[in-house]
Amino acid sequence: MILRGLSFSLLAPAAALVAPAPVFAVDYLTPEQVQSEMFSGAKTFEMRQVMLTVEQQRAVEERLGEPLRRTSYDLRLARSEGELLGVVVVDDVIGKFERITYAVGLGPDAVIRAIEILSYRESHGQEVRLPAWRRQFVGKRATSSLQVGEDIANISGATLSCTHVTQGVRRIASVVEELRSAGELE
Amino acid sequence: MKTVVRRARPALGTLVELGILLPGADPARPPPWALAALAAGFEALGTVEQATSAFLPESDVGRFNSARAGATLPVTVDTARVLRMALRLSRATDGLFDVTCRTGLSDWSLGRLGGAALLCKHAPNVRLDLGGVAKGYAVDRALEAMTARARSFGRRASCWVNAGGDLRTQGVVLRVCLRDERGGGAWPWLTLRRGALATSDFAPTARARLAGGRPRGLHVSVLSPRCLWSDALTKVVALSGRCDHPLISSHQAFAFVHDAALSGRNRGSEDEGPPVL
Repeated sequence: MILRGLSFSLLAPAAALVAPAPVFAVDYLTPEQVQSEMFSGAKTFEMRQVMLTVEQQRAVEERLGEPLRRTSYDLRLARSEGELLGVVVVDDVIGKFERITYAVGLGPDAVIRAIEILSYRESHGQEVRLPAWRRQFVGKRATSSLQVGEDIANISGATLSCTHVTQGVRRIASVVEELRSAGELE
Repeated sequence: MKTVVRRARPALGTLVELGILLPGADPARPPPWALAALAAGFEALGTVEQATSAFLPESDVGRFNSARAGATLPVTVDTARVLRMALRLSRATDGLFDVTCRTGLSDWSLGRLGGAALLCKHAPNVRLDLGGVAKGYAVDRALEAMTARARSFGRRASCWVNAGGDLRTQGVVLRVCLRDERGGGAWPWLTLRRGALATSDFAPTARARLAGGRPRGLHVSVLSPRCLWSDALTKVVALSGRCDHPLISSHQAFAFVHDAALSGRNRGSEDEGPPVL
C-alpha cells in the first residue's frame, strides 16, 4: 500500500494464537568487537576474573542500596604499552520477556565512557522462566552484528523499558569503583 | 547482496537501535562514514533527551516544571518544535491531547523573542510531560542527523531508527514484528518501505497512561511520514477512540487498533466507522 509519504504492506495475518509467538532476536556486537570499539587505542585486552571480598560486597551494596546479584565479575582490561586505558564489563539482564546482553566501558577512574547493547532476545514468558533458557546465554558469543539481504527485522509494540539495563550499569559502575579504590584495576 | 550495520544503546528510557545499509562494504569493518553517521544519530537522540525529558531537572521541561508562575524560559529549538506540535494537536482535539496531563491546559504558552523560543508558565501547578511526543521527534532528528553526517562524507545514507518500537526508515525495507505484550515473542506484521510507525499500549497494566484517560485495553499503531506524527497520533486515536480521526488523514497517516490478543486481526483507518473499543 502506498500513501503519500509512506509505503507499507501487511504480512499475512498470524494464525489463531494457540502456539506462543515466535521469538525475536538481534545480535549487534561480540564482546571482542565492543571492546575494540570502546578502546580503539588498546593494544591488548587482559581478561581478569575478580571476586569481591565480603567487605567489598558490603560497601557496594551500601552504595547501591540493594543486594548484589553476584560477587564474581569478568573484567576486560584495555591496555596500551602497559598503561591502563579502561575496563569493559559484559553482563546480562532479564526483563519480563526479554534477555539483553550489554557492555559497559569505564575509564581508569571508573567513570562510565560508553554503553552498548550486544544482543537482544524477545521471548515467551514461560521460556524466560526456564533455567535452561537462561543458561544458554552464559558465555554467549554473538555470531555476527550483521544481517544479510532485505529481510531486516525490527520490532514494534509498547515502549520497552530499559530499567533493567540502567540498574545493571549502575551495579557495574559501583563494583568497578570499589575495585579501583582498592587498587585492583592495575 | 546488501549488508547492514546496526547498533543499540539505552536512550530515551528505552533501547534505541540505529541501522545503516552498507552496499558493497566489508561488513566486518564498517566504513568510517557509517560509524560517524551512527555516532551522529546517537548524539541527536541525547540532545533531544537532554532538552525534553521530564526526568532531568536541567532540561527545558524540568526547568519549566520547577519554575514559579510567571517565569519565562528560553528553550531549545527541539523543545519548541515538540511544543508547537503539542499545541496544534491540543487545538485540533479540543484539549483532548494535553501535554500538561490535566494540570493546566492553558497555563503555558510559547512565545518568541528575536530568534529564541520562550516558554511561559502562567500558573504554579502546571507541569509539562512530553513523553507522548518527544520520542517520535527524537527518532526523526536522529534519522536526519545520520543522513546529514553521511552526506558530509559524500554518501547517501539508507538507514533506520527504532526507539523501543517507535521507528522510521529511509531507503531500507524493514520487516516489522509486533511484540506480544501479553505472552512475549513477536508476530510478523508488516513491511515498511518508507515512513514511520509508532505503537502504544494503553492496557491497564501498561506503562503508558492517557492523561485524564478512560482506562481502556488499547493497543494502537500509527503509520505516517514522520515519527513525531506517528507517536503523537497514537494518543489521539486512543483518546478519541477513532482510527478515522480527521488528524489521521490530515497527517497522511494510517492507524490500527490491534486485537487485544494480537490474533492478527486489527481495525484500520480505512475501515468503516470507529473501531470497537
